[in-house]
Amino acid sequence: MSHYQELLFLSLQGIRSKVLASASGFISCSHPAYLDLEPSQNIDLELLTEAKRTDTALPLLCLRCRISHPLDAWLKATFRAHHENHGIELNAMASYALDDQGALTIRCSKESTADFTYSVINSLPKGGLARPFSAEILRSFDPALCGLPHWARLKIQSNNELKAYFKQHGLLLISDWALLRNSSPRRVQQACQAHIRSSSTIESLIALHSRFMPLYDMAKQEFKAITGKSSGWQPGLEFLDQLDPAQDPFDTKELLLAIAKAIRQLLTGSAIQSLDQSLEAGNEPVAPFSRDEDGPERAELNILINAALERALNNLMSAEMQKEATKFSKDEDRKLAFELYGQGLSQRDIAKQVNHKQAWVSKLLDEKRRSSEIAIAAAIELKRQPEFISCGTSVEAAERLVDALRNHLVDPKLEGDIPPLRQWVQQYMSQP
Amino acid sequence: MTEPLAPLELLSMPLGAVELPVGLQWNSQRSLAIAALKEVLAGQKALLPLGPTIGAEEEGRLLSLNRFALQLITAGVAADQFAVDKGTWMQEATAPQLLLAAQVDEENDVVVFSGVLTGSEFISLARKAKTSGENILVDTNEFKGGVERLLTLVQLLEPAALPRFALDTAVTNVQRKVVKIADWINGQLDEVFSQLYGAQLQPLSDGAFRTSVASRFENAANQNALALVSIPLGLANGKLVSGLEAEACIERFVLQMLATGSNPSNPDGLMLQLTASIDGDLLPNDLCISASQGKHNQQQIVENKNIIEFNFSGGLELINVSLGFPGSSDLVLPPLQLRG
Repeated sequence: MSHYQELLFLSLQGIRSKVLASASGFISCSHPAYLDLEPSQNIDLELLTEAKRTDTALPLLCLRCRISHPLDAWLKATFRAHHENHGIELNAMASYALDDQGALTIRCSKESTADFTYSVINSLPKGGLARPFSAEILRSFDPALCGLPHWARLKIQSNNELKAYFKQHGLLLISDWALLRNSSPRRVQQACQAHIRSSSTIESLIALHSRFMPLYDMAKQEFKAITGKSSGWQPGLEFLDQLDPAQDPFDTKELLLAIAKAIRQLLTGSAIQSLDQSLEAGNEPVAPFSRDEDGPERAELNILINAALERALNNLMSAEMQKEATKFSKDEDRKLAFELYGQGLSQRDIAKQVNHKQAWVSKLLDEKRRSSEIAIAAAIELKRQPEFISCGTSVEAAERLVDALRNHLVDPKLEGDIPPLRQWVQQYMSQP
Repeated sequence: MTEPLAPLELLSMPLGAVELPVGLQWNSQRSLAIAALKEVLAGQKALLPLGPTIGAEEEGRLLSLNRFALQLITAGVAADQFAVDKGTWMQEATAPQLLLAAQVDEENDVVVFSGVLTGSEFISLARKAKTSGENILVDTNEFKGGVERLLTLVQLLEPAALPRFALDTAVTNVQRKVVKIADWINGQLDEVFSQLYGAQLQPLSDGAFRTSVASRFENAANQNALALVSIPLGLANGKLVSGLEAEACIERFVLQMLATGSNPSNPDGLMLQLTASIDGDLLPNDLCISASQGKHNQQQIVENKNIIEFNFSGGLELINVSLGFPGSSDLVLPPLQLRG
């Protein structure tokens, strides 16, 4: 029964747990039978009912302890999955979710506090997020829709501040409902066949999903019109009834969530190309200008190509680097990263030296965009030459030329060579 | 026992994602996608006009980017399919030249441009795609190249280089369109021929010729080879397919077309050769290839063969080539013009 007495919270030393004497005392005195039971939906509901009926702080305190556990588990699982590649920090994540220290009072405004009771949290302004986050979870919890631990997980998944934090680290938190809306019947079928063990048939799950999509679009539109927000929508009883009038709305929601979970499992490990995965995979093999064709004509052509690339490099990179240079005095790491790039270090090695994640380096150098823009500018110039005239009329020729120029810009011809884009940066950085 | 993988809760931000300012209210996925496209264009040194200036956010409305007619389609960031409205593709006059696909995360104000299809690439996919009501369903991974491909095509190509195709008539039109063999010698391969059938120009340098072609085209080295085009073919569930689709087949073969002639700019002969993709393999039995030029008809049905070869020399008439397999619709190539 420790889940109703033990609170997981963020302290200066990280996530810690403490057994709250007041919660323990309340359970021992008022609900001794709970001591021998596992946490359950029944106990959650009894405590919530009591919190509402008596409008006292202790039943709510037990529920605050209870929800800190699924929040903690979700945070740790998410941290484990993405820390390595994206540099997210557990304490930073926990600051959005485990900010409840277990006090029996709650701050209602800048000046005033009140008892942490159901009527008080229910009266907090509805527009913003109630703090601590547990107050937000409890005041918005509708037992008709799902269990409390699940609700806590849904609420943390739709927490806009946490979403913004993830986004800064190159991660997108996708709600179950958006995921369902954006999955084709084919994907739903694959996901259900592989990951759902349920009494419902695959056909009935696909049918439920196909009814969900148009209703979701309408409900989302309405939600946006009322709240002005694109995220945070949750299906209400009316929505679930409309979706399947013959079924208990709670069961309908459970089925939808099961489908969403199956889709997530299907996607786990699938080839969604991330920044880091792409970086780790390395670039496409070099497609050099000339392999086996030599001779005077080829040499003249190479002179034209190199001249066009040089002009495009000077033209575009001067402006780009001037803009970057304005940030060097505020952040020496940026300057160092460009210097190391000019010296030919890999993005992984640059990241190590400047003590940032590889994604940070990649975003800073923006090599793909810059090299594409330079290659296109050079190709536009070369198109005027008879040898490249087909680039104006053939998709294949245009793409082949731009690809070859881009590869030439960023890929060394021989091991140890420094390719032209890096050489240019090196020259720029060595200027006094 | 290995621990099962936790289901994926977060998606890694895809490469090249455009992050829009948070806190603005967007009416639709399309409005986010247009804002992201404007942001990409604003970051370009070259000025690329995007229109219309008013009403661009209206669903289904074609955009104009640097004089190219552009259809913008959107789906969620985790989507696996795009729904493309058939209506736009029903008439050549209104059909777009390019189809830009954007995956939008409305909850995070992020847009990812999955890639671009040209009109003929889309038509080629639409031929075998599933439909849902008035929409053609295209897998998100069919769109390649991100926004860079769009920027490449609209800046390098002349607008006339991308013809507009209507859905119902495109294939028939392509089959009627004449392919000039002389163009191959200049390194030009008809765009539609290449995209709809997967036709590829093969290098004809001495080295390449000796190693890969001469062994197949016996005596070809002595016949003044000028250009070689090959079409990958295959059987997918008993159906004849070509191009990329063929490359995924277990049973694969290739149709090679070698233009020959003593005048390097004017071919006067065409050798057609059908072989299995792997040297020495047998072609599928009952595969039938027919080729005709005027009254000169040639046809062969495979029976334990590993090669079929036809020759055409001279003649002003068009050369018609088709392949058939029992239970599959015929694969008819556009007419080939040897001279002129």
